Amino acid sequence: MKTKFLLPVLAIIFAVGMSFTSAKMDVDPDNDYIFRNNQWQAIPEINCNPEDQACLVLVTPEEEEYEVYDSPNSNDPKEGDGTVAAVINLP
Amino acid sequence: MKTYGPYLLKGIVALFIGLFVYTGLKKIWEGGLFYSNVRNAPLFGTEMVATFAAFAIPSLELIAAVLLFWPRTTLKGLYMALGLLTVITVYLLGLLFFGPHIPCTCRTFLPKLTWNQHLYFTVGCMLLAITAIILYRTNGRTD
Repeated sequence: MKTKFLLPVLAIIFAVGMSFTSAKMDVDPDNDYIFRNNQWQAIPEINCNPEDQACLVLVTPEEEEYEVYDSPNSNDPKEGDGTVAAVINLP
Repeated sequence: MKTYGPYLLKGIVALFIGLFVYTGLKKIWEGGLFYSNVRNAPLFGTEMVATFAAFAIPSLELIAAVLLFWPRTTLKGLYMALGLLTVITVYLLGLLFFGPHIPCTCRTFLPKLTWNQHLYFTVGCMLLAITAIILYRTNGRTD
């Protein structure tokens, strides 16, 4: 292969790898999740402010804060600013 | 500039190839999530427009990357990149100044940036595309 293609090919390899690793393929677009009462519960999509911290919701009536996840998987926490992004009422 | 021009041009072209392959493929891998983002984005409106945009945006990005890759079509790719970046910039301006609400940036290409910083990024890329077009016309092809 001629060297004129070296830089573009490297850029493509890098971009393909990055797209695979950063794509969130398991994310549910309509819901977020919290781990409550030892099980995953779907909640409406929360608008978090991503600043390298946890995204939290306050669940009423128990007044408990829960970390928000993008999918029912503890390895998929949603980024927030460490404050409560929403108050939701769950049975 | 004459000495470094061709190298700068190659660098900018490689940067745009990486950018468009990355953003295009990421949208394809995320599938339904990207459609949902477009569907809920302000200014996009109807479901039909969102469906079309969800298909057209990644396709156009990958076509731009292919055009940039081949030396014979690099100039067309640069014009297409400039066109895409202009559309994105106009959309961001519309969103910031006329949008009914400003969504979070959590599912954008660079989630850590605010919408204003996204705007600066796209304007910066537009300036790079214009620079590359001028360099191409001055120095010729990248090969």
